[in-house]
Amino acid sequence: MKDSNKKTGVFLCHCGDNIADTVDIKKLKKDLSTNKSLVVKDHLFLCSESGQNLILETLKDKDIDRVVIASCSPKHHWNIFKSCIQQKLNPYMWEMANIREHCSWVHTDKEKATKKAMALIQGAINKVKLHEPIEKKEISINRDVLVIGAGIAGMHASLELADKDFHVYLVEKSPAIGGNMTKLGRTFPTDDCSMCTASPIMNEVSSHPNIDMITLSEVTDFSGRPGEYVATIKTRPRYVDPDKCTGCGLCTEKCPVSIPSTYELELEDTKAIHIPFDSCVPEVAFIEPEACLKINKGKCGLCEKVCPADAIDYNQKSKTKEIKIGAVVVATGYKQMDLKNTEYNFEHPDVINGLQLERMITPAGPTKGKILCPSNGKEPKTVTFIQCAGSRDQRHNEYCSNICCMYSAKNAKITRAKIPDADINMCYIDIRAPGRRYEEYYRLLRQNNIKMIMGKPSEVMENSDGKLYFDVFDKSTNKLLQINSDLIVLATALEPSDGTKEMTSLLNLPYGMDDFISPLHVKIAPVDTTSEGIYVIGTSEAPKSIQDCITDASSSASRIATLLKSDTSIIDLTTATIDLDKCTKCGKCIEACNYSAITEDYEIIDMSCRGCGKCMSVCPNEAIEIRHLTNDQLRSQVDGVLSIEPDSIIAYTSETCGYNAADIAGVSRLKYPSAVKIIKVPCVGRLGVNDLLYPFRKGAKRVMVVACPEGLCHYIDGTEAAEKAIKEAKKILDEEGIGSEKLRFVPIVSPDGPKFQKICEEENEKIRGKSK
Amino acid sequence: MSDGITDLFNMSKPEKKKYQDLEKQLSIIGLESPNICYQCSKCTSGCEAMKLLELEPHSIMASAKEGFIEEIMQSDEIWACVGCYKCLERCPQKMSPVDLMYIIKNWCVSSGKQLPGDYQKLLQNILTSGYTQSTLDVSDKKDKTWNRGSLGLPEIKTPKDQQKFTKIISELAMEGLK
Repeated sequence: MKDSNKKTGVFLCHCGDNIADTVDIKKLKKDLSTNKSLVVKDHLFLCSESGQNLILETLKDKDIDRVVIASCSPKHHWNIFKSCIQQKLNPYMWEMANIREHCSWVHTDKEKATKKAMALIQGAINKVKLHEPIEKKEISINRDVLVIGAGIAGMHASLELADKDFHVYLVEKSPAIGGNMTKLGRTFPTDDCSMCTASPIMNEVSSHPNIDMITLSEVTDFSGRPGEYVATIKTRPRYVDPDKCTGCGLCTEKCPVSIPSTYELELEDTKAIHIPFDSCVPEVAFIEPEACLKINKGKCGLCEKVCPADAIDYNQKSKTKEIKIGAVVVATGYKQMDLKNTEYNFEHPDVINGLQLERMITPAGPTKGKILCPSNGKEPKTVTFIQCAGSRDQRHNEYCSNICCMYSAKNAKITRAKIPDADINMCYIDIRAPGRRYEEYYRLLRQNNIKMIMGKPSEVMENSDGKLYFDVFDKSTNKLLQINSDLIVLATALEPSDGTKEMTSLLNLPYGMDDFISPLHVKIAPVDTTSEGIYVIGTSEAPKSIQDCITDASSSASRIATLLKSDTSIIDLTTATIDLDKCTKCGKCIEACNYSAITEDYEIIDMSCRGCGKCMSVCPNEAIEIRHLTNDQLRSQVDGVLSIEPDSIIAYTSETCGYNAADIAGVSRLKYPSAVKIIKVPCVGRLGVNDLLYPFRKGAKRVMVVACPEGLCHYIDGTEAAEKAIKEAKKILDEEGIGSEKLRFVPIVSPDGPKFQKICEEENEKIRGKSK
Repeated sequence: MSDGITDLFNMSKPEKKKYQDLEKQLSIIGLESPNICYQCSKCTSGCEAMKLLELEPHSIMASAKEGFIEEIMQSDEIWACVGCYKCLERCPQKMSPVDLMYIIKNWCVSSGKQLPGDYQKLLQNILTSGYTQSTLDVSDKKDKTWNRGSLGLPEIKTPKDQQKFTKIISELAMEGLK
């Protein structure tokens, strides 16, 4: 537009007779050719090689600096035309008018269809006239990776990455790596010993040249952008020199201070100085500073005296260091729900959780592999497993904890093996066994003479002797049973660990009602998060089995290998940009952005921006815009459409659900009135109040916003943002006497072409009714 | 067209209209549809009326959600509920068998159904005294008799004008049914 000599190439595709049968291409060409700023060509199949050659030949004319392709849906041949056009022009100096799926296939009246095609093409011409070249940007990439949490997921991700030659910082809060898996006795569905599986992995992690294993440490500060994040790692003092300590255990023997062992889930005491657990990595002692007499009161110092390696150092201090990384894996895991103060009587020593039973099963555990009642150290005659304790419960955690059916089945089987004459019961609601060899495993359980009781106890009680009992209605026998049980094992709900919650807030990650970290897309992007370069794996995302943690871990390593494949990354700047002269720094865009792509200084982090345009809808001054669909471009497109057919219904559609549904209607040849004109936006969250009102100002009869339903938005909550803008716009429409009913929100899913057809008919009926 | 489910024991059909009424009534008091119940039978496991009178709240829920509501009305089972609200408190799905049973009991009364004998006695007590039952003296293991007086509790007030009281209580009760 700036240079009036410049022209726009308009290419009309017949698509054989797919378009040409219903749209009069000849007339279009004739009408368009009257505009001297256009160079109009047509072709039987524009996507064919000869069609593309036509485009390339035409673009030899240096006066043509932008292009409109009027053909099929961009979902179809966008990339073909893009790669053709970018041989001559910037790859964003063109636009597509969908005159097949949105026109020739859905209309029968040739005159009307031709007029509509003209309107769509004029919209595209208007828009493309305002296009500016969108450049590429080279971004430097740091190829180191931070893995937070050294449980089975974090360890496996670290190894996968290290083997791909990435340098990994593996940060672990505890004094030893391995996480919850090291506490398990055996694992389902193979019943192999957990430590036998975990141990080699732990040793490989500690000896891998590409892994920097940092124990007793936490991430305390985090900033930067994808490819160049900065994390501060704070390391607590161990008070023992890991290079000198030989793990002999003499210090623990002599230490006078006993404390309950957190590792053993308080089933056993340990000392203020101790080695976390047998065969741990690193197998080095550490001192609990809160319990140590020397550190707290300056007394004792026995461990220093007896240590043959001279490894004790009471003067160690906390250290912090800053690391630069390109990507982050969050693998901070779960914790067991605290069931105190509930109907399960968890205060009673003989009511334990599954993980505590795992410790008893372990030969290295507090009972040396014997299942005993904690209250009296005797072997129980009756053991009862109660499932879904705190899970599937609206009062506590709504979700199913996923692994409890299988691990309780395993623990019941092991209990049978260890106490052959015990009565073993399991109270359950449903048994969930969907997985490789899981149903077979459930059958094995039933072969072990475990009494399966289909019902949930209301409360666990104790009689005057302190013995446990409960009533349960067994739905299979229709009997109310009273069960006296020496030991009760609860299948306690898994909850996000404290570390998971801390990382959620430090890394600014979205989380669900359940506090677990939400992945970017639960199906197609299960380990990605809203922040590019930050991945969530294992049980920090949801309760899951070891095998699922491993899958997650490998998956995140693969994602990272893609992101960090070289020292630089080239991206298209189809991102937001801020006009700082207009910006009042109100902070609304920063708050609205789901991807942390706008800094406190109002700079756009191009690596993080996904170009959805939600920021635009909240900006009161239209100071922020996405380069690939500016306000002027969108409104000019509306102008173009309405200049040909003022009596139109404008349907703003989200690029994914709404636009696809309209395409499906086209592919299925579902007919609807030609008054409907579809205008594509990346996400309906892009639409501000002004965008919604604009078509009315220009004479449009009605406006629809056709979008992904709430919760299914591809940019998280664009739908909600649109609904908010619609509410406001409706108010204005009422105030101005236009009528709020003329603006309609339509939630739709991609395949629902029939619904798209139906709403178009409904809307059209309303204008026809009015005109009568 | 098929006509859906039939109970082959008595050839009865689910009552869809009644079921919708039930959902509506439940929603008025902020409760979700009985369809949400996933039949863990935890309510029945802890039900005080189960042990003595074999009330199975989870079965009532199951019949209700299938739409067999007349069957619930015909049986005396729901009148065994003592209204302790433990089922509501413990339900993992925030269902309330006790409230559901109250709704159906109200329907029984408004449809003129004969109530079980003990329940009538109880209602009679409320009409005359405002209490579900009159207080009794009790003896302890040492054969010592206790009553409210010897426990230092205030005397229970009784209506001064018996007729007026009964009238007011009846009106109040009927108001709830309108």
